[in-house]
Amino acid sequence: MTLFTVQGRLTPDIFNKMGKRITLTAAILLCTCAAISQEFYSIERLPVSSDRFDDFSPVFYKNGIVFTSNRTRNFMISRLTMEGENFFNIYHAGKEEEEKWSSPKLLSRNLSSNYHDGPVSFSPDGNTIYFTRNIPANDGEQARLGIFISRYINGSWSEAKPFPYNSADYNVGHPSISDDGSELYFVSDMPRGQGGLDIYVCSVDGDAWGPPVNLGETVNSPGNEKFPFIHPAGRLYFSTDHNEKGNLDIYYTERRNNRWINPIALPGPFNSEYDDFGYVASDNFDEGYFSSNRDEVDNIYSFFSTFPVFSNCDSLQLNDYCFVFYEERGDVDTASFYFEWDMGDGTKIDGLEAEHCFDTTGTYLVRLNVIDKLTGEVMANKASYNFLLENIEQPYITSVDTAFAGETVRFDSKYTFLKNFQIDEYYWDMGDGTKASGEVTEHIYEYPGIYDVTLGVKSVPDPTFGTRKECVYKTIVIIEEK
Amino acid sequence: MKKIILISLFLAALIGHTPAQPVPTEEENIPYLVTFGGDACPSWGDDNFTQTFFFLVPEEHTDPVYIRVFNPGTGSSIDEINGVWNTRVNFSIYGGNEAWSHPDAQETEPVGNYRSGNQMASKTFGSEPEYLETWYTFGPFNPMEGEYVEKFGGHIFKVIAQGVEGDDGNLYRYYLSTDPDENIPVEGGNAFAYSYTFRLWNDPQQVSHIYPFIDEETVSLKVSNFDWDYDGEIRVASTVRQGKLLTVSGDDDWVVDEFEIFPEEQGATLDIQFHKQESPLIRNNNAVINIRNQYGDLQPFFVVPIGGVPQYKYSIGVKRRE
Repeated sequence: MTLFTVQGRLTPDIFNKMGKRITLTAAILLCTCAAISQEFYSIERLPVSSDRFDDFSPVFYKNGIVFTSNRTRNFMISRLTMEGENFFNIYHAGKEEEEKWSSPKLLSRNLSSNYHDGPVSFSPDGNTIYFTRNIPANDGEQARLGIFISRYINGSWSEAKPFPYNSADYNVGHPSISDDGSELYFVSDMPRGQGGLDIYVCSVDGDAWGPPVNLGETVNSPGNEKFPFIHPAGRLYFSTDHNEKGNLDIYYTERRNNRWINPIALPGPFNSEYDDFGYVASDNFDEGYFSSNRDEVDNIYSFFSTFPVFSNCDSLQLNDYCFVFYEERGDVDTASFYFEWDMGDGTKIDGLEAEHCFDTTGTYLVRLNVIDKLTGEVMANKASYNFLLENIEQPYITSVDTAFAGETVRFDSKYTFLKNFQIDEYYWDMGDGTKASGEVTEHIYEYPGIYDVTLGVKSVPDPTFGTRKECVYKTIVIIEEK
Repeated sequence: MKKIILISLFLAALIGHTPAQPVPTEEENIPYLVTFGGDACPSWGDDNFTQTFFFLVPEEHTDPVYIRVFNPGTGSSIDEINGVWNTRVNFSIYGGNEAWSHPDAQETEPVGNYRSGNQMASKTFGSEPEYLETWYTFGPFNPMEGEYVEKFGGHIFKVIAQGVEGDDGNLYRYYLSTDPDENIPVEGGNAFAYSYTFRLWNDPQQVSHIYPFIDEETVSLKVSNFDWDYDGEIRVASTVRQGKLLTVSGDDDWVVDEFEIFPEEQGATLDIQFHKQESPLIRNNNAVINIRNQYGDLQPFFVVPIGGVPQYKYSIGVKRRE
């Protein structure tokens, strides 16, 4: 782990991504992106990003961004680390017009200390800032990192208060506050973690923060997890260096059934062979920012997605063509009558109720003949029902439920049924980071696991509804190769 | 009170749309009414040797009416002989105040002032050939001489057939006519009884019906049947009741069945069906039936069913298989 000194004290640098590459021989715990992956993103380096300095970890703030940078604040006065590098500070750049950015400025002198400041996270109303800062230490002691909190009151940022779980014995930083303000995610190398820096979460408990909870080994690895960002939709993005090359890659995870799912790596162009981190996205995921040193120094990149984001997808419901027909009034005299049902597809069923599975969709004229046992009279067609059997209105995924790792799995959307919805394109999220498009796709899962495959469809725009999106997901199980 | 008026108007409106009226009607498909001589045994199918019918002439009808009786004498091939023909049956017509409205008139048993009202005609028939298998006409009667009953929207004449002596069975029919010599129906006319004594068909393929009109206050019914000789099934149907089998009485036996009625059956007509058994075939079977609600009020059987013959409305429901 790279160290740097502040006022003669050693501090682990959780800001510095250019750490020593660790070659791992242990099994890769995190799911890696499959080989076949279509590019559905467009990125560009943000013009406010400097060629000479490190700029990273942007967050949305007042029609612009707030980010962390070690750019020179004042050419006349320069404070340096013991390694001769600039300290990091918190900067703001506004987006004045489309694609035109203002020159970055310190967000506030009140938030600028003599040491490192940033990265940051804002409350939804923008009036509370959570940020990382060195905790002053005595000579000979490491200056740990902690989280500090300041509020914007009467036009200025208040004196920062320390987060209650800051410690002189370990680092706490990289805060990310949830959309409702009830959870604060952060990283720490506090004892009893999974190794290195882990991601923790504190939940609001009355007027205070509850104790930190480690997100567990599904998310945290023996390596370092950093730069968490909790999206309003509930996805947690973060970076980890727990891979063969030891560079930072961006992953996301989300809670399903109160469990964090196996992290999924973002595909290219987010992740590269360099350090990629500090991901934030808009509410609908259509745009956002991330940081990378792919251009030698840390730069901020904006992105927008060309792959529609499908959220709140329902689980696929199997089309079921089996029904029970019955006499609705129910005051049926079984002692002196019996029923004969003509199901409209050539099937005849005797009985009070007719349970029948149709072969396919269609319109069936179901007729009820009543036979009076006392008179022997056949009362034909006493009631009829023009039964319209349709598929469930949903995108539909046809595939196997279980497959072997390394085996080609075919996914077909042909039974998709959506009324008044002219499909423009089909989008597939294979659940392992791979995305694809088209009515039919094939995919090979490299590793055993449980994957949620999402099929999203986008409509042709129409004057009334514009472009609409529908989606479903289907869980498939990938087992060990034969 | 307002509710009663509304019910009455509704009933009158329904009656006003019905055609008239032999007794029994084609809808009832009952071969003959039956009254035995006063010395007969009830086990032969007549519990009290008296049958009371009320004939309703709508108030719009002001021309004279006639009440005609087919086969009023007892001695034809239609009638039921026991030994020798020795039976005399009296037919009496009543109108005026309390002909219908007197409580005794609406009971099943010929006790108290059941002959209430003004007697307008009366004749007793024996085995004289001229009264066998032919029509005898009472009248003319001015409709205004009947008791006016607002809830029925017309005037009512009461006809009591009562066995005076003998032990034979007199089988007969009525017709409310506008003509003394022909059966010309009174438009909108009807007839009803609170207790029905009638002959069942010998042909088991024939199904007879009676049509009680259930008032709005009724929530449950007691159906009493007498001397059915276990001959087949009695089934109750309505627009919301496909069929409910009732207990059938044996020989010289009363059986009472009680059941709740549905809200849709309040202020509506039930269809009580009589299905004879095929084997063993019982011939010349006579039976009695009446219906009371939870208050003990008898429910009238209209020969022309109010609102038409109720048909059970089948409706298909569908649900996903679980």
